[in-house]
Amino acid sequence: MSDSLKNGLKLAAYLAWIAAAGIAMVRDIHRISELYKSIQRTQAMTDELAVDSQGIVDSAHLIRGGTRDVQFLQGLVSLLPQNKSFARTQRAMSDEVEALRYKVGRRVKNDLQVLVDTRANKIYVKKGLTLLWDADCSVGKGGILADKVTGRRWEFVTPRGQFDVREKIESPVWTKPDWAFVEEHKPVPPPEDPSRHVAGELGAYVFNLGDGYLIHGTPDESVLGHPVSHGCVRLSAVDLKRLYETVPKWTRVYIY
Amino acid sequence: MEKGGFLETLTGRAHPAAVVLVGAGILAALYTLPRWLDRMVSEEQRFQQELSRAIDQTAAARERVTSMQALKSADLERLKAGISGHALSQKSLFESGLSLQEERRLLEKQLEIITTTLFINPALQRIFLMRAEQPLQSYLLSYIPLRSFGGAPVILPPTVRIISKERFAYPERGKSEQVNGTLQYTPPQVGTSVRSNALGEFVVFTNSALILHGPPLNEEDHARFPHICLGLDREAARKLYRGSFIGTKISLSNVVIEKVEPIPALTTGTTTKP
Repeated sequence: MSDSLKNGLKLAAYLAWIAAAGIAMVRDIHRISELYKSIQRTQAMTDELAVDSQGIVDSAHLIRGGTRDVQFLQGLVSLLPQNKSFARTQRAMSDEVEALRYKVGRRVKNDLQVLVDTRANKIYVKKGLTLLWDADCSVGKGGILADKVTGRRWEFVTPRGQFDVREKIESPVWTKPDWAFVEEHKPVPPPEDPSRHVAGELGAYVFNLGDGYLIHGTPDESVLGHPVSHGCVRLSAVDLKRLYETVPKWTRVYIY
Repeated sequence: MEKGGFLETLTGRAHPAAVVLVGAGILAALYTLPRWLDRMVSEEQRFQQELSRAIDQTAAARERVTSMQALKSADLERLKAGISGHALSQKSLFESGLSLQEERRLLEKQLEIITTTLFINPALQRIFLMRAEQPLQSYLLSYIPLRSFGGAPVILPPTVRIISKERFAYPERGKSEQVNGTLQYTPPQVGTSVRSNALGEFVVFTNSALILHGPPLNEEDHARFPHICLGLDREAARKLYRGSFIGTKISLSNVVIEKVEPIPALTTGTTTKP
């Protein structure tokens, strides 16, 4: 065989190999491309799944939060009175109050009145049956003070009943009674002694209800609403002024 | 010429059998690779199918959860909107109830003060604590006819009114005198006071000579103190003291008063209240 024939055969073999390899490579590249696309699709689907899952987690979190809020609000609702018969009772009470208004209204007419609730430590000013205003006050603290020296005893209660405003006094001076000295464990001075006269203790105004009982002010307004006095009715400076401006002499005062 | 040169160089350096072997190997690899790639692709597709199912389920679940979230949010909004109105209505109902109770207490107490009276009935030898026309309690009187002590008048108007009360009868005022230019004061002493000894405790004064009181501390001082007496025991005096008010009227019908011979009287003094 000649060299040129050998070379020709070799070349043909090479060309045939190259052709076969080229065909195979084209097919491989096509499949690799398909695999790559598939992987990309898988990645996209995985991302989609992750987004959905995260969405579910977020929604579940919000639902749990909402459930807690609902429970909290329902708990608040249960704090409020839910007794449905309450409204009926209230209507019945309203009828009773109406009957009482009629009975009392016949007696008090349209007169101005001051009422003092010694249990609640409140004062009311009414004209007829209409409440004009109310305020905290302080009444007798109760209890008994005994003076071992003289054997005297005093009960510090505000007497209940009907009184009249007998006097209205501006800038009053308090004449300390004997019990004030006994309470302070001091010797009781003569009635005319200057040490009995204390200015400013009763506030700017005094209403004399008679029998030694007064409506007056107090230097310590923090105790209003509690029974701390020795029998008089104490008011704040503002309410005392308002009472002084509202209530004329001989106004009826009910203390209960 | 160059290609021939290259082939010459390639084949010239390697053994022809090795060249054939390598060439065959490369071709075999190139033709085997698609099967492996096909298997990979089909595995990938199976995985994608599973993913697709999972995505469908997840999407459905997400849809459900989202709708639940929307429902829950709507519930919450409705509850929030309703609770304020509910709370306001309950609050106003509650407050109007309290206000009614306060007014009822006020009116009841005022009516109680206005309608409470005492009624002395000599025929029954009792004093009645009355609310309007209704007797609440009655207590026995020791003195029928009533007794006038200490030179007090033997006449009473048909109606008298309570003007003052003393839990413990105050003694007369003490005496103050000037000694060597200094004012000296002896405070009132209970043991030596006719007034406190005569009236004892639970004392109710009227705008007349009639005084309601418990047992006296000293009978002689009691007989000496000018007043008209019912002769109440301690319990009756206590209940009348607690049950009556300043301003309460005392009605007396057909009351006869017996004068008790006076013992030389002592002076009475004024008192101060707390």
